[in-house]
Amino acid sequence: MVAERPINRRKCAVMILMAVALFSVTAALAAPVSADLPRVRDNGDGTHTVTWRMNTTDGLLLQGVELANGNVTLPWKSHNLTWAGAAAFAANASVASNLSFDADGVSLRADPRNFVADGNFSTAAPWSFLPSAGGNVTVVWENDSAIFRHASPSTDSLWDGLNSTAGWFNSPGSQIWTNSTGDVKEGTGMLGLNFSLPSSPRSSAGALHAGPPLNWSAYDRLVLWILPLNVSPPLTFNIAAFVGTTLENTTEQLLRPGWQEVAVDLTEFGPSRDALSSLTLQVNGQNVPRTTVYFDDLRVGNAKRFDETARIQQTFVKSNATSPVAGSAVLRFNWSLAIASGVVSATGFVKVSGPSSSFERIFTGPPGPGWNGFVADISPATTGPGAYDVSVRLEVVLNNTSASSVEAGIDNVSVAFPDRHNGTYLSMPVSLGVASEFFHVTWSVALSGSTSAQTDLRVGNDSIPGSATWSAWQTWSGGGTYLSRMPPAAFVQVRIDLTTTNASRTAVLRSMDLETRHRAAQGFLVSSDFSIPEMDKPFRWKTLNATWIGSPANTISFSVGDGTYWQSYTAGDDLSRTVTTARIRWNATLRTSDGLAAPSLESVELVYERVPAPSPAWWDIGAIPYAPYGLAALVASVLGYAGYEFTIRRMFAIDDVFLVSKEGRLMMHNTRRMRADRDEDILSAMLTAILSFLTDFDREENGNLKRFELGSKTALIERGKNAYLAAVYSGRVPRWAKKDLRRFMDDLERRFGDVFARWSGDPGDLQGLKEFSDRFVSRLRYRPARNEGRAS
Amino acid sequence: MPEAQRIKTKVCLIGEAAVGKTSLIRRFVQDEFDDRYITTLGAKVSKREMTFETRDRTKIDMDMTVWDIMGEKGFRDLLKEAFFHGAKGVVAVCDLTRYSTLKELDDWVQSVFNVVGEIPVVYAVNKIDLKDEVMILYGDKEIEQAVRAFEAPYFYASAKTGENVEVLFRRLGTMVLQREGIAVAT
Repeated sequence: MVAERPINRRKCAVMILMAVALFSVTAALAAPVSADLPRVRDNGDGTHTVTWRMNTTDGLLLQGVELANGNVTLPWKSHNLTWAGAAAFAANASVASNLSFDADGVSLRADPRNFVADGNFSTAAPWSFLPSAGGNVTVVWENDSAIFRHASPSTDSLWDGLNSTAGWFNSPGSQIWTNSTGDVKEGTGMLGLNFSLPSSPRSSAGALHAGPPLNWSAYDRLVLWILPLNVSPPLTFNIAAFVGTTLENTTEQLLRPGWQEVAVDLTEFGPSRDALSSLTLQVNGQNVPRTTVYFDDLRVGNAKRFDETARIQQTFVKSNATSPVAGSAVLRFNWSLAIASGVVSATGFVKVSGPSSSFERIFTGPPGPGWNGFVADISPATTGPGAYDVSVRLEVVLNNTSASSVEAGIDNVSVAFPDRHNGTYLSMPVSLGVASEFFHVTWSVALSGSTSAQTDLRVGNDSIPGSATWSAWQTWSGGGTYLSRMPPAAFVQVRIDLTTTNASRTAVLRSMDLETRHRAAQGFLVSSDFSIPEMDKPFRWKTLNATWIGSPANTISFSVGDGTYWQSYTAGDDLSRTVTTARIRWNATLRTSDGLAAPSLESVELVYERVPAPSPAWWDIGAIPYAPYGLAALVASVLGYAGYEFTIRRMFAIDDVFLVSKEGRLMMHNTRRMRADRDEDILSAMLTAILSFLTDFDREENGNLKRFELGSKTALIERGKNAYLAAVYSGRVPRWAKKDLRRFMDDLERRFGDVFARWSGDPGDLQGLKEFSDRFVSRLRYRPARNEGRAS
Repeated sequence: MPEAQRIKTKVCLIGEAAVGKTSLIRRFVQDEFDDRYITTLGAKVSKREMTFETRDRTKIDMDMTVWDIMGEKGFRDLLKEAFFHGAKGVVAVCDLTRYSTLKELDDWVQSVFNVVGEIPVVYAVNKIDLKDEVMILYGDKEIEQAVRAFEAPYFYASAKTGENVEVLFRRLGTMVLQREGIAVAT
């Protein structure tokens, strides 16, 4: 490489640096590589055959190919068509009737509506809140729920706190006393009755109140607390009194263990209760060993009696008929009974009534905190379309004198008609990319009672299901893993039928996994380097022969090179046109567009021949038989050589002209040859990179490379404002060549400068450039353009 | 029948050393020169021809020269103007197994922008084939944060399997054409 301008020390250092780098690269590329393989055979006719056989991987680099039975071929690749989750099924669906795709999987679609408006009581408006007729039970909208309430005080008053035994007497065989140490219910004491009763007959013991007759005509209840210490054998309690002269007994009430409040209906003494005497608190039994019963807090009053119901209600409309089969309609709500004290009963009722029938059910339980769930199938009662009333009511029953309180709540009322029907899924034809073989298919299906699932697959070789290339459906029932017996194909179609006989239930399809395999589409192998032995030089490469099996869909292409490049090789080509060095390597690329078949390479052979050394020149003086003729020939040779030298100094040729934009994009290439050796775009860009490197390496030097020589070629470079010219000459380049190139550059800029400045990369913008450059390439001397317009 | 149009464009392949830039394009481009030019000269140019189609079905034949730039930062600072000059697009490559290579791309892209202004950028997160073999320390969140400033799309790619290599170059080609006012079908 020679620069035309004087070279300073800095630039010289750059040159040396580059030279060292290039030398390093060249040395590395030229390093001999030893090779145990292949085998070399002398063919006996001056040629040798170098053979690689594919029975070992030694000396071969395999990438994406495998060795099998003495051949190199493309391997099988496993591929699973996996649809995990409903999203995959949905993405490939062409038909999906009555189906829903959600996180659980593919299932029969349910009508998700709650036909009850504001069932969660976020507002009160859709509901009617109806208190009981007597006003004792109310219902209100409160804290986003419906609340039923009743509250009433006690209606009795103390008659005798039994804090002493004053006025009381024991019956025969029993004792009474006042106990002030126990768990009294009222005041400071309670009355104890100690007694025993014989085995027969049935008898009683009691505490008798002595004194003037009692006028209890204003009362209908006597209420007291009783604590029996032992209720085995059973004990009952009642009151006996003389009404006039007749002894009357109230109904006996069985005593339970522990304190209990007992109410006695005084009306049993008859309508006239103004003179009750000898009132006795009486315990009845048989064969009772000695035991004690305590009494306390004797009260009289009038019982609160009512049976009242409050309710909430709304009407909803159902447009379609539904099935009476269970699961077709579901009623749900939550209820609570926080308080229920001092009442006979607090009972809930729910009712759904429609045009032809109705549903009603009781719900009740002990009072306590929290909510209880209620679910009921109301399918038979809600089959027809029309208006339906849904109501929830609370019935409170009172018949006592004590304080009473009830609080119950209702929330989240819903009536749903899932109305599930049989559903069908059909996928689009799903491409596997290439023809593939099929193995197992796994279906993940969850079934419940009354449901079933049928899964189907079919395969084909075009994207039109049902065409002649498609197989029949193959069918499975339910989930599991099955061996697919489908023929190889490139497309798959999936069909699923979910069925149910219960409108509230569905089968759920969760996933599908289909095992397939096909041949890899491409792979290659590269040989190690082979170098021709010194004894066989000089030489010439002849051919590359390969033994392989393929088809139009299964091909093998070959490239050869010396280790620094690859060039494709076509069977039958003269190998010496591609490789001239003694070192050679080859690669084979295997390709298939048929997933079921692959090309198979058995061997590769390279043939070279030894060529004879150059013969002596015809003018060799020793070969001339007669001296005068030889002398004449010698003179003629000298004169011929002088003439050749004279001519060659004046003869040169422009091989190539490159016009390149400053950033390295090729704008125009004109050449005298038939075609370029290398890609012109890449060559121009790399040349630009090298020139940029040299310019940038030392920014203190404001200079550029203008000329370099390589063998018999010389390149001159001239820069314009937005592009530069590189002209490659063969022969000896005269001094005026550079001036011509400069003039040509100037003419180009005059004519095309504006186009160069805004060139977008479209060669169409540079029309006329190639023709314009012909005047430079095709003539010995360049004639500057005259009076020619500018390109636009 | 609309006539075919040809356009020549230059794109740069940038990123830290050993992220797989050269490997990423090896099977994608027409290769004429040895890879050792990258370490000796600092860059190697290869080429890919692609065809696009506009909405009126006009064919656009694009000759894309791909400048594979050496991944040493010192070299970048020295030769950036020479090699980035005139670039119409950038493929910014990072290594999925090294988070630092993603963060460094910010400086690389800025370095290109300083020379040629804002041009289309596509991020290639290379070595996705290793995702099941080594611990991955960053993902979509970090990548989206990195590309947001440049409005750049990103692709997980693999030089080993060729995954997404064609796609990301086509995407870049589309963006380059759109910047030239040519809308093509994607």
